Amino acid sequence: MSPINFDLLQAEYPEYAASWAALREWFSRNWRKRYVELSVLLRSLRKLDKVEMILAIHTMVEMGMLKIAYRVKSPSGDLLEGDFDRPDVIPPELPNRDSSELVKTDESDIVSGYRWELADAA
Amino acid sequence: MPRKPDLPKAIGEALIDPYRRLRMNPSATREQWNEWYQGVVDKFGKWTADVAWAIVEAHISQQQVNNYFIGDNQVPQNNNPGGTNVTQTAGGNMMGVNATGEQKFRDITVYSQDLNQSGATINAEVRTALVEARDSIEKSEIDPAMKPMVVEQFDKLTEELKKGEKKNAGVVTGLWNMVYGAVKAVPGAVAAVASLEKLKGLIGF
Repeated sequence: MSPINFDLLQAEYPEYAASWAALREWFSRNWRKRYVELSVLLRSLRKLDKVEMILAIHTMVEMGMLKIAYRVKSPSGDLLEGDFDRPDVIPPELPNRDSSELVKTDESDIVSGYRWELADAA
Repeated sequence: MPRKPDLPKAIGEALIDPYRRLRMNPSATREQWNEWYQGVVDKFGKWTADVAWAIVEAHISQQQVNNYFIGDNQVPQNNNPGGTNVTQTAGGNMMGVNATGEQKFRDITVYSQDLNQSGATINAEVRTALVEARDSIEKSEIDPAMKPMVVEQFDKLTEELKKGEKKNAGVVTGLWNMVYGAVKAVPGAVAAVASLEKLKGLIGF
């Protein structure tokens, strides 16, 4: 993956300037994380236009700075293990958090998320 | 990555289907969603499919999507004697907005005239049942906020049926479920339900 570089993003895609500023701040505060759900970003950056922010995030994906990772959220709200490159390859069942039973994924929510390398977000 | 001005059409088109067929249908299955995703990947590429998925997941309203992605692609149509300004969008829908901004749908006369031009693919009995069903939906007590969407889905169902043997059975079933489900849930739409039941038998459900 490429390092997250907001200066480059701002230079290449100035139309998303508001998103870059907000995302730069978010990543600087959360650099230790390696994964974030789209819903978390939407909640954290409420002032941004949602469509613009999604386009900005996926520009980072396209630039190789983030990797898209679809995950499954069980009916009880737990994120299950396993990243998927696309939603249609998620298997019908996945183990729950403590691997004690299998969760039917068609009864669960699929959520978009983004992963980055620890060093990349510093 | 395409520049921002190049994005709207592809993403707007990619979003039409989930908004009108899947998102409004609470019984849409994971298979139907996967089928849509794969279709978008095939047509526009994975990047657009992922963006479209995120937009649906973020519960961004259809109005916002239209404003952002589709507005510039609307082409005025001046052939509607019903007095509504009708626009044809990339997805082929026929919706209008009247002077007060309220969403309107095609007049039943226009619908019927359009349907009659499809004599080669839809027989007279089905055409009559389609017109009766659409008319009864229009006259039913479905909430005004929902009715244009239901009628729009019904029109899309009609368009799919007009394809004859080339129709996509999955699309027909999905549209039917949405229309029938929405109408049946309205206590004051008994006549519309009855007309849909009649149509149901004729189109092979």
